[in-house]
Amino acid sequence: MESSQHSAQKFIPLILTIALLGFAFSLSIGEANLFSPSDGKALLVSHLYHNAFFPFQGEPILSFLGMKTEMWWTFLVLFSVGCVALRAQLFPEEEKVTQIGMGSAMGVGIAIIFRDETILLHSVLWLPYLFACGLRVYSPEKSFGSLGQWIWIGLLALFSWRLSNAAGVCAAPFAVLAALFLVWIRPGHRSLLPIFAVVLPAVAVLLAFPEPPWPHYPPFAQIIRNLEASEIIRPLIGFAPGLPCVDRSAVFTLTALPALLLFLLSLISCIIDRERLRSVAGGFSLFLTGAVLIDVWLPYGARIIGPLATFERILPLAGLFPLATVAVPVSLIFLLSRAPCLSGSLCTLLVVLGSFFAPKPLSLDATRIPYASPSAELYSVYGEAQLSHMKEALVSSVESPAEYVLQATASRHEEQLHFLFDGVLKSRWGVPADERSREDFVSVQLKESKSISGVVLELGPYQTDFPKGLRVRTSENCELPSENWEIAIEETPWVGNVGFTKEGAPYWLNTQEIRLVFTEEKMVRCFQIELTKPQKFFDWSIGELRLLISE
Amino acid sequence: MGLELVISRNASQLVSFGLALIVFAAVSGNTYLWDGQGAAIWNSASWIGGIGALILLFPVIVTRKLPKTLDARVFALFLIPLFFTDWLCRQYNLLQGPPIRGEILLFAFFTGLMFRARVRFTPYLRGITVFLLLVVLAGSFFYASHGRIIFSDDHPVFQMRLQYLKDNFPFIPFFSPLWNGGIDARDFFATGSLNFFFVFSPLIYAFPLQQSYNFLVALLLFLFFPGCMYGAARIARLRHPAPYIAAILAVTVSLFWYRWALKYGTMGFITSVSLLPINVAILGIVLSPKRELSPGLAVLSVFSVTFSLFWSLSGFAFIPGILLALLLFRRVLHKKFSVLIVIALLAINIPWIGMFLKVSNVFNFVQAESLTTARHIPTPEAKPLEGEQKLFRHKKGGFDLAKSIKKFQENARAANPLILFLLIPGLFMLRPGTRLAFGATCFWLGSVGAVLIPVKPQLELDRMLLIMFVLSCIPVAECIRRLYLTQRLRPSLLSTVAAVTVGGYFFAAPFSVAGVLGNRSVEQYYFANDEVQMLANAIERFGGSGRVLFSGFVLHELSQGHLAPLVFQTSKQLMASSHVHDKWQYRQIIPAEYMEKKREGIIEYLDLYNVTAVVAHEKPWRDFFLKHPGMFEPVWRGPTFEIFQRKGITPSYFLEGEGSILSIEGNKVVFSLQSNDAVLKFNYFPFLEVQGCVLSKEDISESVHLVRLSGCPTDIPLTLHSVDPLTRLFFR
Repeated sequence: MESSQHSAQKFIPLILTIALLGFAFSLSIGEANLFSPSDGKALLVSHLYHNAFFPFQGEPILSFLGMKTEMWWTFLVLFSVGCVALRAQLFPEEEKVTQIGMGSAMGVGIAIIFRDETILLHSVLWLPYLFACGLRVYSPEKSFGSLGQWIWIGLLALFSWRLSNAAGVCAAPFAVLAALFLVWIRPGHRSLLPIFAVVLPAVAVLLAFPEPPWPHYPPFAQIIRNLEASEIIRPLIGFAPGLPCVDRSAVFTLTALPALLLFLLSLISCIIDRERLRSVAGGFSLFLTGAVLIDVWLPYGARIIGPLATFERILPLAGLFPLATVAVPVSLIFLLSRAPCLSGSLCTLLVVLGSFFAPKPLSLDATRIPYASPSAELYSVYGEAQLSHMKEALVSSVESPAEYVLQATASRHEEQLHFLFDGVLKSRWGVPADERSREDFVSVQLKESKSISGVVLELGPYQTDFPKGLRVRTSENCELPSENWEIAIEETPWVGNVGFTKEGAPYWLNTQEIRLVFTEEKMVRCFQIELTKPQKFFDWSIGELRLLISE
Repeated sequence: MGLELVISRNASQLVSFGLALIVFAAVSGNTYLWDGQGAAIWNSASWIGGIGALILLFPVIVTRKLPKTLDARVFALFLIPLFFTDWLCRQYNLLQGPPIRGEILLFAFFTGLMFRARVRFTPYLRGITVFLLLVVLAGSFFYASHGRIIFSDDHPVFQMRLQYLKDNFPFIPFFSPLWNGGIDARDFFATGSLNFFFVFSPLIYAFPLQQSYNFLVALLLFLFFPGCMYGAARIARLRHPAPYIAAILAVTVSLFWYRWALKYGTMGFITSVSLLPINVAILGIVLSPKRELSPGLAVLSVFSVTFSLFWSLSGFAFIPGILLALLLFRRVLHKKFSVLIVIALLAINIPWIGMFLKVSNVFNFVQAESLTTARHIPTPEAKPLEGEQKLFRHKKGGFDLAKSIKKFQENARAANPLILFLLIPGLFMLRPGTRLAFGATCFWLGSVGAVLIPVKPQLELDRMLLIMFVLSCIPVAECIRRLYLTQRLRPSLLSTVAAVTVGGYFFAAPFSVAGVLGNRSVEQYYFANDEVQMLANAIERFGGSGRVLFSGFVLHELSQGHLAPLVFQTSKQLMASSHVHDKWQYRQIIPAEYMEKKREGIIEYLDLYNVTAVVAHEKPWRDFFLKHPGMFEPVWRGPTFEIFQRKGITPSYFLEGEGSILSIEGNKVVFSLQSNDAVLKFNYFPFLEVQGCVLSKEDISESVHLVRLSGCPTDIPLTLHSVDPLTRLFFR
């Protein structure tokens, strides 16, 4: 009776594995959906669904073996084999059938969770091999210094190199993770050489990593000038490049529920089995899932000081991809690698089933994602056509209309209007804060009609006195009432000047100059600049008024 | 009695708490929660300081004695409330919050893990850690450079000075005809460029400066400076790993360190300050009743003090040491080598200090803090302006306690908080002589730096505060070592929390510095953009046979740096106001007396200096040149500058007489004359000579004085150059 029960238990993981494979097959997951970064506007608006950069580097080992690297099945099989190897190192006394079954279940489960994210699957492909090699090298039973050990160290370096290459921008976090793993399992007196064997290939890969094709935004380019959006991270320290942000809503969609589920599973398993907590697998699983929870569930102020956000800032290139989406499968690997057969199978099933019911970020409309990049907001505010005008206007000549101004009027302080054309920025026309209203305006009549593409209001030393909203009306017939003049441009709110990176990506600039570029060139005899939204505490000042003349 | 016993047992902690609270109030000022948007923790720091003073005095009064030691753990624990205040989020903070809190937490966590795992930092690991850290920081700098030479503010000027030294040392000062019609190239002494030159002379001579300058800067910041700090800690006999800790603290000392080093380019100052910890550590030995100087240290002290003194203001840092040495005269006199050191220092330094005092008008400069009335005309069409002119970065004023505290807080905010909170307990952990040396010097520098700035604005004494923080790395390193030792030998909750907290800040700081070096902080620094080479090429092509003059006032218009090294990238002589940073307000290159005469005066000045091309970057000057197409032809336009060639002129370097210029080099003009007398269009200086001629001053106007030559031989090469330095020192 007992032996038949025992035999039945042995086959449970196999049955589960077959069921999972059937599930996967029934979903017709076939060719991998690789996403490579492309040039052009798509990169500037959003990449994938969360402004990230994760290129597919290819897998030379598989190519060498004649396996098609685009095939999802290739990764699935190889990854499962790695999980089996890891399982074998962790449970050497376990039966082979159970090792194969559980390892396959791990591999299939994680591959199903990734589904279309083949690049992510590729990034963790060699992780189980690395851990298995590390366990082998630091096995207390094996002596150090023998030829066999050197071979294992060599394999460790090889898998570290492949892992780093596949992980791409996540190479540094994986290297740190692997190094910590080895430090944890290292018997006290053993050599540090295996740790160097893990870290050095990652360093080499990072040094050779091509620079991401990201627009070179200046360090202080901001998403919204007044930082009204709180989810914008400007990594100012460490190695993180000047990336503006990651789409947090997509990260939340992908990882929130799996992370919560895994955290609870890790916690329960550690409570049930205290030894699990002290083990590297239990500890790392709990730490990673806890870190992901901090990253996706907590508000901005707490999240940016969480471990994942910190690693994204301080590790080379790690800020280019949200670590939370990678941490979830890695924590699952840790959780399952140490799990007994039955509970491990149940966990796998639970997580896989859960992933089917989680919302899919790919269904989100990428163009509607707020704050996907410093440029996205500008595209949604101005549109591509207007941004193109603005870029062209940068090479327009800026002239003072002093020589052809016939007369100028204003809502207030007309005696100061001549300062607008005196060539001295320190002198200004201004309306004090306590007098300002939405009826304020400056009106200029030229001696003759002129073709202009915009107006420039230079603030000079009065950088804080910019308006929050402006409208420019123009007309060739100055006899008409100004409210009948054509609106050439209206910007309410006016958030900042627009600059362009050398790649042509727009971003918000400073407020020293207000450059209002018309949607098209206009023949203008008179124009009126109207304050549509004043600032709360500051004056409205103009140091110099100039015109944009197309060349 | 029971209370007295309790207080007596905890006197050290209470006094430490009171002192730490005073420090907290002093560095923090009005303090708010988290990011400054939260509630105020206190609105009046003076009240908090007062409470701290009461807490400090209370056990002293009760027990009627001072505690023998301070408890460094209490000071370290104040870093925890600091974490929750807006201090980390204030502008110009070294640790750039709010995200830096993540790094502090992470590394505190890792420090705790290290304690739990009983990880021992063997010498091998220490060395590797420090080496990797320095490599990473240097890598951040080079990555930010993208192969371009650093060109921020005074860096180009420093490059020019190094090139001058490379070409002319030891014959300095000298006459340089390359800038402004001839200048007295003498500011090597005032700016401290000599120390940098000496330290790196093998590399400077071996490689072209254009290619090696970034490496020299990196070597100074990431090898020389931490190396000196390590050496100072070893001299002060700090036990391991304190010297390594001091080296790491050195490279994370303050945001302003990198402001002065990278943004402002004051490399002489940086080199001098790098050596000061060694000087003070050796002073500690001199003042110590028990230690003696070794021959090696004696020789080192001579070089170290000399190199420090090359940046003349470092003398301020030596004042407490000199006073202490005088106070403990007998002890110092009986130290081995002390007399020899003094004699050597005097023998080496008096000659160059004498030259410095003679050529640099030092006394006028030291007394020049008053605003001066000057007349100048900024643009061709402008009216003359008269009035007070700001001469220096700081304004003159008197003693003002509130301003002093504010200035101190500004500098403290930019410093590593470990230095602020652990300095006082750290000083008490040093050996007696070292404690006296570092304590007195730090106290003196703190006072000078906070209080004396408005009194002598020209001296920019706020740098003394930065020097104080640099020197503090030694006592703070010892304090950190003792904290970890205490945790290891007598682990308790208090010592563990203190050590873990210190670990969080200690390991987070290098990442913040990496961001500063990567140009991702409020302190931006700049590298040469394409315009530098474009402008140099354009000047070479369109400059003509005479000089090229930059109209108006040029400060940092060329790639955020000065024009100075352009003379080495072209074969032309240049004129500008100013090619170095010696003016704090707009000052036209053309003197007022010529500007008043409008176009005629301007042309006259250009003719006087044989200007064959002008460079404009200001609209009024561009408009002026464009309005006179018969005289100025636009030939080149760059992003910032535009070159106009002069038309209808006959260029000549001779105002009177006939001759030809054979060559104009960095320190001389070689020419020949067809007449016995001539007036050269070069500025006159009393130390100039031409062999075979009588040289005198030709006063052209109030501001222009050229060289008149009489009785010269004809048709042979003659050389206009400076007399040798010794002759100039004693006879000219």
